[in-house]
Amino acid sequence: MGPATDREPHAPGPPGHLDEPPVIELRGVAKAFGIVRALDGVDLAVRPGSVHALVGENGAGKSTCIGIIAGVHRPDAGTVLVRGTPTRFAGPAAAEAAGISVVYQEQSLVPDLDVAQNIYLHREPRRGPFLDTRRLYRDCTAHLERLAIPVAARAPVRGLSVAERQLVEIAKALSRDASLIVMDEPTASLTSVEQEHLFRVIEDLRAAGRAVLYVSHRLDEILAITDTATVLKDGRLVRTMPTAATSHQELVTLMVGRELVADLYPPRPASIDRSGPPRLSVRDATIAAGGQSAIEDISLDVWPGEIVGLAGLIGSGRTTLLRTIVGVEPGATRGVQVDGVEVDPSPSAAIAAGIGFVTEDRKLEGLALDLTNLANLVSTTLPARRGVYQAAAGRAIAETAADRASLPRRVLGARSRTLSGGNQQRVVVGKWLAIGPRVLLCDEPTRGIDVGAKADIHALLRGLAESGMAIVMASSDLPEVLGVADRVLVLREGRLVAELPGGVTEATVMAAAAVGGDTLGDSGAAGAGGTAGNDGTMTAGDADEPPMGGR
Amino acid sequence: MSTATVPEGAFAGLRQRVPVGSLGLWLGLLVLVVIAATLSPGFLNPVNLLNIVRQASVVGITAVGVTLVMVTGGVDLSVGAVIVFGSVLAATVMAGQDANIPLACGVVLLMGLVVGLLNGTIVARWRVPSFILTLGMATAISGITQMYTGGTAAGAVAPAFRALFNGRIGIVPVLALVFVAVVLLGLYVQTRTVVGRRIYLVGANPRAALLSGVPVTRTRLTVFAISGVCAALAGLALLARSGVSSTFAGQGFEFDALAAVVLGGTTFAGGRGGIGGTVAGVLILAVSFNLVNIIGLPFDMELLVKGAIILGVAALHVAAQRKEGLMT
Repeated sequence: MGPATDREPHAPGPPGHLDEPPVIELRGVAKAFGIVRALDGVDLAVRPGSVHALVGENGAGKSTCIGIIAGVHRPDAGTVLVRGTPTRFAGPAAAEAAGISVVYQEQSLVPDLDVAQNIYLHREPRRGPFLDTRRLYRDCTAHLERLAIPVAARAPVRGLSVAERQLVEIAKALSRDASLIVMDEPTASLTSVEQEHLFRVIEDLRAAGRAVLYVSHRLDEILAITDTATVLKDGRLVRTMPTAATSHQELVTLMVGRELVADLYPPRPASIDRSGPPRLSVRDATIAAGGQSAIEDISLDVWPGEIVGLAGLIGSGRTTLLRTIVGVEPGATRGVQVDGVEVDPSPSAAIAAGIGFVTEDRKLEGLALDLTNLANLVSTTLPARRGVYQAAAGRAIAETAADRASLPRRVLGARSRTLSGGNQQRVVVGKWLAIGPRVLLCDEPTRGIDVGAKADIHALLRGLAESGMAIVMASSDLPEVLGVADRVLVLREGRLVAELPGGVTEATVMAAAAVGGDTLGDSGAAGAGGTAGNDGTMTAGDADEPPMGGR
Repeated sequence: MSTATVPEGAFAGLRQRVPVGSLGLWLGLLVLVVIAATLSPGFLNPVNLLNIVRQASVVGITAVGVTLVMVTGGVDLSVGAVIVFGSVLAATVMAGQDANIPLACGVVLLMGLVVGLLNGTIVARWRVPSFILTLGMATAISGITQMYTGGTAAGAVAPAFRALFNGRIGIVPVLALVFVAVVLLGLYVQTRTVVGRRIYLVGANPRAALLSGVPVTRTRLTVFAISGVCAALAGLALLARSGVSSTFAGQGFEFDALAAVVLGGTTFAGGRGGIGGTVAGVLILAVSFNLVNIIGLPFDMELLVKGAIILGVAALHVAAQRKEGLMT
C-alpha cells in the first residue's frame, strides 16, 4: 500500500491515525436484492483509531453495508478497499482473515455449546490433534475477566438471557484480535451499566488504534462515543461528518428526511383514574424454584390510564414478572386480578381477561415469521363459529388492528419476515390490540427499531393509556421509561426495590437498580452522562404526585 | 419504511384462494405426464389416469394426515405400521363375512384413532421428539401385528368389501373417490377451520402461538389423531386393493408418504406447505412409477428413477424458494 492512496475529501475524523489508510473503505458500492435496491453508490471509510457511526432508519441499508464489509454479500458495483487495497471477499472467512470482526445483532451463537466453545468456535486451542480444553477455559475466563463480562466460561449459551448472549457476542468478536470491529446494535438489549461497560471497552479499542464501526439507533450513544458519523437513507449516502459537528436533532432530520417533533417525550395529560379498583392487580408473585431469574413477593397495582415503567438490570426479573402475570412461568405462585376479577394462570385466560403481552423478542416469541401479517394479527382472536374460521371477520379484525398500530393495510398478505423491524413490532402490538385489551404488558417495545417507528410506538402507548388502558412497560432504555411512564418500579434480583414517580432522574433509578452501594455513584452518574441529550425532556411536573399503588 | 412485499396480483390472489402449493410442482407433474403420454399413447386414456389415482390412494390418504402433523413441526413415522395392522385387523374381524364389514371398519378406524391419540399425548405432553417416538411406536405396532397373526396372512376379506371398495362407479374407481374425499376434507380442515389456523401458528412458532392463547398441546394431539385415522383408512384401502392381508404389504409406506409430503413443499421445520402441495407430490410419485412401468424398467431401476425424481423436484423447490427470497 503506497502513498498513492487518495484521501477522502470530507470526514476528517478528529482523532485517529489519519496518515494511515482506512481499515475498510467502500467506494460507490451498490447492491440490490431482487427489485429492492438496498445500497446505491455508498462511500464509507473507517480509519484506524476511530469510532465510526453508521446511522439510518430501518431499511436504510445499514445491514447490507455490514454484510458487504463482513463478506456475506458481494457488491453489484463499486469497490471495497482493505487498507487501501481493492479486495473482493470470497466469503465471511476471507473478511475475518482480513481482520474484520462483526458483532451481529442477530444472535449468531450456538445454543447447545457453552460460552467458551462459542467464543473460540473453529479456533479452539489445540495440543497436537487434540483439543486443549484446559487452555480453552483458562483463556476464555481470562478474556471474559479482561472485559469484565459477568458470564461463566462453562455456562451453556441456551441458559443465558438475551443481554448475556449479546455480551458473549461482543467477547467473541473481540477475541479475534481484529483491526476493525463492526457492532450492529450492540446495546439494544443492554442496560445502562452494561452499556457503560461496553463504552469503556470501545474506548480502549480506540486507544489501541483499532477501528470500530458502530451501528445504533440510539443517537445519544452515537453522539457520546463516536468520532465520525455516516447517515444512510433509502440505500444512499446522505452525509458523513464529524460527530462533534452535529446534533441529535440534525441526525434525526437527516435520517428521517423530515423534522420530528423536537420534544421526544412531551408531557401527557393526566388520565389516571383511581376512582375504582385497579385495572391490573398483582399480589405476591413468586417463583420459589430458585435459579437466576426467580422473582419474589412482587405486588403491584396499575390503574386505568396509567403507564407503569419497569426498570432494572439484566436478570432483575422484569421479563419473568411479565411472563408470570400472563401465566406461562412454570412453578410460579401469584394472584392476578383484572378489574377485581381473578385471572387463571394461562395465556388463554389472560387473553380472555383482556391482558395483552407484547413480548421482548419479535422473532422468538412475538411472530410466526413464515406466516402472513394477517395470520399473525388474528392469531390472538381467531374468530370462529362452531370450529369454522370466519375469514371475513378475521380480515376485519386484522385491518382494524393494522390501522390502530399504523401498519399499512397493503402488507397484510405479505409474510411477516419481509417487514422491517419497526413494522414487525407494529404487527406484534397490533395482534394484541386485536383482543381489545384492558391491560397491555410491553417488554422492550422499541428494541432495535428506528427513531421514527419508536416515536410512533410511544405515541400509540400514550394514546392507549388515555383511552383507559393500564400499561406496564419493561425497558432497558431508561430515557424511554422515564419519558413515557407515569410511575417507575425498579426491580433488583427479583425483588421490587423502589417505586419512583415518572419525573425522577436516571441517576436515581440507577442507584436503586444497581447491586451494591459502591457502584451506585459511578453507574448512576455514567448513566445520566451517557444520555445527556435527554435531560431537558424530563418533566419535573409529576414529582409532587404521591407515589401510589405498590402495596 | 421499506417494505419488501410479496408480489401482488392475480397470481398471488389465486394461490391464496386455492391452496395448491408450489406451482412449480404442478408444472413438474405436467412435464412427467407429457413425457409419459409421448412414450405411450395409452397413458392419457382416462381409465389409465384414474387407475393411477387409485394406485396412489393408499399413500395419498396417509400423506394427508402426515402433512397436517408436519405443518405443526412434527412427523409421524408410525403410519406404515398402522396401515399394515389396520389391514390385518380388518381381515380377521371380517373373517370372510359380509355382515362383519361395518364392525371391521369401525374397529380399524378406532385403532388408528387410539394410536394417534397415544402418539399425540406423548409428544405434546411429555415433549418427546415425534421422530423417535413414532419410530418406536411403528416398531411396537409391527410387533403386535406379528403376534396377532402369528406371522402369516390371517383372516379373510369379505366378498362385498372388495366389490364395494375396489369397484368402480362408471369408470371412476371407488378408492380414487375416497382419496379425493379425504383430500377435500383435509383441505377444508386446513383452510377453513380454526384448527387449521392453529396448526400453522404452532408449526411456525410454537412459543408465539402459546403466548397468543393457542392451545398448543391440544392442537398437536388433534393432528396426530387425524394422522392415525387417515393411516387406518389407508389400511382399509390397501386391503380392498390387494384382497389379501399380508403382514409385509405396507412396509415402507411411511417413507412413500413422507416423500410425497416433503416433495409437496411441507418442511420438517413446520409452518409451511399444506395438503395441496402434498397431492401434487403423491401424483408425481404415482405417475413416475407408472412411467417406469411404461418404459418397462426392472424394479431396481424403478427405485433409481424414484430417487432421481425426488432429488430433482427437491432441487427445483429450493431454487423456487430462493427466488421468493425466503432463503438467502
